[in-house]
Amino acid sequence: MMDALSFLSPDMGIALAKGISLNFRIALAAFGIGLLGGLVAAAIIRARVPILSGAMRFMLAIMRAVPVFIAMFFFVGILRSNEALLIRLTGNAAMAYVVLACLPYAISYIADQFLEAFRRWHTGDRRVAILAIPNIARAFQVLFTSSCFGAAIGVPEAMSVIIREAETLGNTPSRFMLFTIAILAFTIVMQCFVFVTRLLHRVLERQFIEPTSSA
Amino acid sequence: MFYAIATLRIGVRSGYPLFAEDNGAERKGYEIAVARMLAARLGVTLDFVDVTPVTRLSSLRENRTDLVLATMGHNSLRDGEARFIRPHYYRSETMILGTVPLLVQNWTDLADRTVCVTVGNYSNALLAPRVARLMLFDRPSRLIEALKSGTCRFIAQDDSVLASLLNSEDFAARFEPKLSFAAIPWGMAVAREGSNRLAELLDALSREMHADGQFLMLAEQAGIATLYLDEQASLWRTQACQIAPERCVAPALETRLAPSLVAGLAEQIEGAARALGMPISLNMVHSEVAWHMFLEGLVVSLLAIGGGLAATFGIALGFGSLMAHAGTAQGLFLRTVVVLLQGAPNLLILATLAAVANALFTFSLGLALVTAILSIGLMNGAFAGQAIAEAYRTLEPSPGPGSMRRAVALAAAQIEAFLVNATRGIAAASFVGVTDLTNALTDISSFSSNQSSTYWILLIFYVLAVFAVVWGARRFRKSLEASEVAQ
Repeated sequence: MMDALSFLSPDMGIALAKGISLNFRIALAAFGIGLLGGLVAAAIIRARVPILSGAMRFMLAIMRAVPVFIAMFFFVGILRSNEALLIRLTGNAAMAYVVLACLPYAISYIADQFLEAFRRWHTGDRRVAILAIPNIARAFQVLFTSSCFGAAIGVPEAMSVIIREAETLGNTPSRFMLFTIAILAFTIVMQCFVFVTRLLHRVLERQFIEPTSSA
Repeated sequence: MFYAIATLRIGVRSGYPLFAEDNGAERKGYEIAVARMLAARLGVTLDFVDVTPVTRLSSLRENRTDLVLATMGHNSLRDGEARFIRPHYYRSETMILGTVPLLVQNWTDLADRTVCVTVGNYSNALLAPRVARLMLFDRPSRLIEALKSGTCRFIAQDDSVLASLLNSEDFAARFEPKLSFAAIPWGMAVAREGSNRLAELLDALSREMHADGQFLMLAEQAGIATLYLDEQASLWRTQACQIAPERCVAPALETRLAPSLVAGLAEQIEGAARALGMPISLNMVHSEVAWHMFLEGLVVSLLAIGGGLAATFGIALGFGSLMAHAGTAQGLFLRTVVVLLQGAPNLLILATLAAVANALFTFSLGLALVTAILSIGLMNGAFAGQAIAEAYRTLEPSPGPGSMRRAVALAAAQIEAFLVNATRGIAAASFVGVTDLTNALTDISSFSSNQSSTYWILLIFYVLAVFAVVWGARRFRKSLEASEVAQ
């Protein structure tokens, strides 16, 4: 196995592990802030104060339309002159740009899930309401893959490491081998997320839905 | 004393290795040595004043310095702010520095590469059309960190900034100069008003110091590149230059970009916005080069979005049809493809297909665009195709003529979702060198002063594009569903 991977740089494994850990941290930060932001946004809409909920609906519509990749360039362009401040606040400006870029998606998606869950809960459809939890957990999976956009602005996450390694390999079969391995590796990680999400769904159904149904 | 004042206040940099360094105990470097030589030849005492790129010209205006000798390129824009001494005392170039194993012999080898640069450099305007992408950094130290860490494989930076690094054996073993371009002469400068006598003396001294090889000697002692000074020494020793020096002095580098057709209109809009308290800068339309990039970026982005939508729908139909009619083995294969596309990040699929395309064909902007469109189409079309196939199976008790059309109608909601997703996803096409709006505006930002408005335009463009696609896709979905009801 190790012989088959001998075309890779010796430090590739460590760099990739560090890269993946950075992807996780970006996804986790965006997920955490998105969870809070989504809950607040959903609560504002549910409060039914006409101007506030209208404004929030409009903001969510805009957020849904913002591509993560573009949001990332937007934040880099707007905040580059204040990068020192960003570093003081977050410790890592490059990571902060990607987290910020993921927020429009995270907040709008999670807010949508909360709104749907609130609506279903109030109509007594608790089974569907509970579905919001695995659906929200699924956002983490999207955020993890979106964090790979950081490669475009020089964030040393996993995608960056793969692209860097591929460049040194040139147009050789090894390069395509590397891409194939990377696609398989990401697929395995993603399938783990899918498995956890499904498991969560089943556990929730068993814990909250079945006892209620039987009652 | 050769000059009418006893002390000459010379503005110099303090942290520019090999050119002007101040370690507290002493100042050293080529410019420091030149300053000392000038003072000695003028017979005056020397008072160093620290200046930075931001304060060097203002120090002359505010009479804090008599002369500035501070790594300052002599360009046409600065000619209006100070009187530059000619002949110039040095010349630098923008150097493309890259990792040793990566072979670059000419610009074609960089056509599909990302090059990291610092924002605000004039040379970026020349570089942007020649490479796939620019990655922007705010200062040279960050750029060099990115090169060392492997984040950047190529950087473009003034060779004087890189000179000290390339003198280090470790650094030179890992990185090497690949190409050079955008040569700019360096000039010392005095204030435009009241400094004529000093300027004339310094002009004459500069000619002498080239002719007698003093500049060259000081450069050799400092360990910096001497090619330009060699040429100048030979030039200023010729009789023709000694008799008619004005014929031998080089002009300032022309860095004023030709205005675009709509520059006047842009200025009027900016003025009107300022009057309303909204300070905007439409720098993407002021110069001809930026305007051209902006228009090209706009057209390419619209093509990419249109192509991405068409590819997504086309691949969805193809994939749906294949999956609907596939046997067990084919079905398993197609499902595996969907799982792989679902698992891998968009950028990875994009980079993989781009690598395959570049291995099969010579890189071109058209190829990059087609590759990006196909990647986006494949990623979204495969999912939409899966939805069509699943819808088709629900019709299975009575499949027949028109079943595929009905399946498409049943899967209309998913098709709509993936068409919108494709529009968002195609924004990443710039990563593989597509000269879309993201790339164009990043390139324009790299040589423009105000960046905020540029990035607002980028964001607004894509938000509007997504809204338009959502609207269009919803109408398309309704027409599909209506046709299903009618049947």
